[in-house]
Amino acid sequence: MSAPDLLIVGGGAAGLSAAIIARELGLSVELLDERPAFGGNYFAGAGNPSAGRLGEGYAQGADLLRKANGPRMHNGAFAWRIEPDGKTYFIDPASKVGRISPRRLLIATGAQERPVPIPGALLPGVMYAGAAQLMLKTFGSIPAGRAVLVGSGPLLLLLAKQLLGQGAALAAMIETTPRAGLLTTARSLPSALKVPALLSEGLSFRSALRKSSMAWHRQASGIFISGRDKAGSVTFTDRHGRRHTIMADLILLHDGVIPNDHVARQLKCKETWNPRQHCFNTTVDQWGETSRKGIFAAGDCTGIWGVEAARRSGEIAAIEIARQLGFINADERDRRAAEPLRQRARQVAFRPFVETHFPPTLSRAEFAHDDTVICRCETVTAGEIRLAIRQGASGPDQLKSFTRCGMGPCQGRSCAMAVAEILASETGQSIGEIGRHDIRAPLKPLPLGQIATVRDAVEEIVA
Amino acid sequence: MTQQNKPASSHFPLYRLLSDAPGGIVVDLDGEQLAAHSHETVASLMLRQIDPGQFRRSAVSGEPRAPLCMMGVCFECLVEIDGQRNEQACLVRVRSGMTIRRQFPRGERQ
Amino acid sequence: MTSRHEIGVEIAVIGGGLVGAAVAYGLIKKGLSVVLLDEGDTAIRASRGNFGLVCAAGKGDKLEDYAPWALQGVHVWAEFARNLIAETGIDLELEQNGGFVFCAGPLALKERIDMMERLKRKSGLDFDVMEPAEIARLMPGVSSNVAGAIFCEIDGAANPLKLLRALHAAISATEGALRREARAERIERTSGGYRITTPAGMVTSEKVVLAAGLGNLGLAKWLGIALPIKPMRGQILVTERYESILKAPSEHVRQTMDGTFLLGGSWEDVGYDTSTTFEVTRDIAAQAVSYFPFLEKVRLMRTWSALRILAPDNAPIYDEIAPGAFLVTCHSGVSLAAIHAGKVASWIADGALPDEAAAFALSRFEPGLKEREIAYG
Ligand SMILES: Cc1cc2nc3c(=O)[nH]c(=O)nc-3n(C[C@H](O)[C@H](O)[C@H](O)COP(=O)(O)OP(=O)(O)OC[C@H]3O[C@@H](n4cnc5c(N)ncnc54)[C@H](O)[C@@H]3O)c2cc1C
Ligand code: FES
Repeated sequence: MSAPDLLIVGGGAAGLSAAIIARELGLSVELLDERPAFGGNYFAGAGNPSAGRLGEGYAQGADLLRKANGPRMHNGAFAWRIEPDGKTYFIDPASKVGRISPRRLLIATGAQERPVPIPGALLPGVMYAGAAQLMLKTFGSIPAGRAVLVGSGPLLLLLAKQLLGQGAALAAMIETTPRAGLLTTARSLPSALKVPALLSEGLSFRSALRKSSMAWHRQASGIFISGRDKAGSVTFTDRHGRRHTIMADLILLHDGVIPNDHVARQLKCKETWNPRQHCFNTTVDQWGETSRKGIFAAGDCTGIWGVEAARRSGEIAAIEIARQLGFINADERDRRAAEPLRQRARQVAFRPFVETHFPPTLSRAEFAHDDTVICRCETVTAGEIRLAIRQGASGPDQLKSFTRCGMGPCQGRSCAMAVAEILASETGQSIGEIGRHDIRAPLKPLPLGQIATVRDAVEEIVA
Repeated sequence: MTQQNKPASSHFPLYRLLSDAPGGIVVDLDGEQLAAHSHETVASLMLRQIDPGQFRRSAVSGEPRAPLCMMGVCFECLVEIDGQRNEQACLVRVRSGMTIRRQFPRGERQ
Repeated sequence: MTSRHEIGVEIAVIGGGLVGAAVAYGLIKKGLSVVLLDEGDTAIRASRGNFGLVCAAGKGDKLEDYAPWALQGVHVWAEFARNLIAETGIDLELEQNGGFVFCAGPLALKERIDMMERLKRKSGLDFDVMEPAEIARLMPGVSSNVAGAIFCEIDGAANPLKLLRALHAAISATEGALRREARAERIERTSGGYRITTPAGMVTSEKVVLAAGLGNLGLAKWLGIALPIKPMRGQILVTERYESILKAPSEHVRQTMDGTFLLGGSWEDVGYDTSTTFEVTRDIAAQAVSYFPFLEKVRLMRTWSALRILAPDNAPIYDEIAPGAFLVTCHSGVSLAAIHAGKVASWIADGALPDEAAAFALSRFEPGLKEREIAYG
């Protein structure tokens, strides 16, 4: 039976940082990550020989990966069912179900792209900007044909810079960032200035991009993608009210990121609506403990605070867990946590800049025309959702059962936010009141045979 | 209304590798032997080998679909790997001798 | 949106699940002024968690009068479905191509046959006994782990989610008839009938129907009645879609029109705990794979549990528990939906229960019997 002091779900910036500190403090640690390599979103590919190509941020990642490396770090291991006491069932790369009963659980499942339900988004050749960045960071691949970037957010600018730097052909950048956002930026500057490195990096993207030959449209709206069996072009209205159609092989969408919080939701951890980030945040105390005692969360899965904050929050959680389990006392905890707490506060102070500058645009419900598909898996349109609401569906769970929206393999990862937006606009309630549908095990579909064959021997399967 | 650029070409993988070092791993994609690099996933390999319109078709609507997120969230990259359907191609690394089958609605074949 | 003013109707139906919605729908069809009080999205709702069988086989095991009643209920389903579909455009996915009860061993099969023979004498319900080879004609892929099966030609299944949706759609076509987020918190008798307090306002009515599933326990107390019903948890598994292969449902495995397989269902006496457990998930998966080995590679999509509303004899309760206050509660809200919208709604509209209803009265449970003394099966 595997009963470590700490089980971490997610091996990105937060999870790896927590693992390093927890082991330093003497805890036995086990870590699960569903991806074939550690690093999460930001440090994806940091372990590859070619990582240096993308600059020193990734060299730091290589260091993090090296320090975190050790036994009981499981790749390709997906946590599919977690009990309120932290007992976790996972499926390993050999398709065997294993069970771990940790004394404390840390959820560090990171972020996902904010889903963008716009007309034509289902076509092959449409991807999220993050996907193109992962292709570059993890696999050393760049767009082969003409790529167009559409949407809003720092990642879009960073990606453009990275792809141009590697010689990719970018046909255009179509930014949907509203003018209001640009104006209010100045007001957010004072707190942002406390983090000069990050800020200047952000601002430098724009000037670098201005020098490239890529067409650049600002404050675009009315965006749709056309094509028959795959995307062929993107159409939009520019800030002067002119319609444009740009041919493209690859259309990269981005509207910021939101927490990947299915694990916390399956555990029914309390969450709060964050109006500035326009997403739900898992509620945690300053140490990262959720509303469920003994279950912690750190990093982007608790709210979008960026990679530095994710690392610090992982460390902070590990330090408090060590105290709870008696490895260190409260004084020692306060001494060790002081620096990461201070650094995290600096990072958090920087967020208003990003949040005000880049509010979600592409994904908002006003884009959801009746025939726009909201649930990709079950192909449920905005119109069908509105009809179901008129016919009596009063909340997300009833809506799911009425329309199958959210019942497909992604379990609502792509549609839950849009459903909440539509419910809010149809019923006049706030998104925070409406919430999202219940998440139930398994967290991802897995073959019945893999569950059926697990007898009482379940513990022995754990390596 | 303005139109820029020429129409998109009809057959095109979406990505290409930056380096041209040959991959040391051979997998079988619908009967075709493909060379892959050991750190690649099934999805990243397919995105630089096949036309995105030929990746898979939705079991519900029959429409063509292809990877969207590359981080295990969207489930648009589903393929059959070594006889097991609906695997997330973006989360599975290539292995020598692996057989990958693209998925089309049942009873239908490319 | 909800308004707080008081509304007055002829009949208030409490409970927006399958039972209450079916009765309310039937009452509206009869031209009565009705309001259906629906608790809302977070209700403990068996209607959203059930298996969707429309079946008579095996019903009446502990109360023989239930056997002919269930059979009637199945007989009137097709016409009920036709009307509701025509009205709402929502396909209920009704299939009545027969239904199976699988038995794993010869002993279990023999016991089943005896029971079905006994019920047949009461209701006339016909059935066949099938060997594995015969079963395989309707259920390709069935394994020899099945010793045999009971097959009832009149049985079948419908989509319970669509049924609930269609009933709600039909009811909400009448302005004001569906009140959401209107959990009944209090029932009081007035000179002319009843007054019901809800967060969405006050409702006064001449008659009231208690159709709130397990919520009836608390509601009946306002009228001084203790009910002998209790929750019985059932966990259900649903898989990804698969090519259409199984032609008829069974209580363990059924393929829906979407192609997904529903696998069920446990009977657990655990109070109001609606969580799922690993062990039961595994056991249900194991049983399904042992009956249909091809399911091994089919993916589990979701698990859930729902609470059955069970009387000691597993049969419905229909009664007038106070003047003009009707109790309608049962476990099989899908199988009985048509007859609830038909006969039961007529009884309530007429304001008196006929002899046919007598077998389902509360008094069949010994008066004064305390809940804990009742043997549940
Ligand atoms: C596309 C994208 C681009 C970004 N770019 C930037 C940027 O340029 N600058 C910046 O500061 N920030 C950026 N961010 C944010 C940054 O990536 C995060 O702040 C940082 O990665 C957070 O670290 P984390 O550990 O919380 O999550 P992640 O790094 O996302 O790691 C989470 C890990 O959990 C794993 N996981 C999830 N669920 C399970 C499960 N059930 N079982 C097992 N494993 C699971 C995932 O596979 C993943 O490896 C970006 C985010 C995204 C999505
Ligand atoms: S590409 Fe989104 S899950 Fe694989």
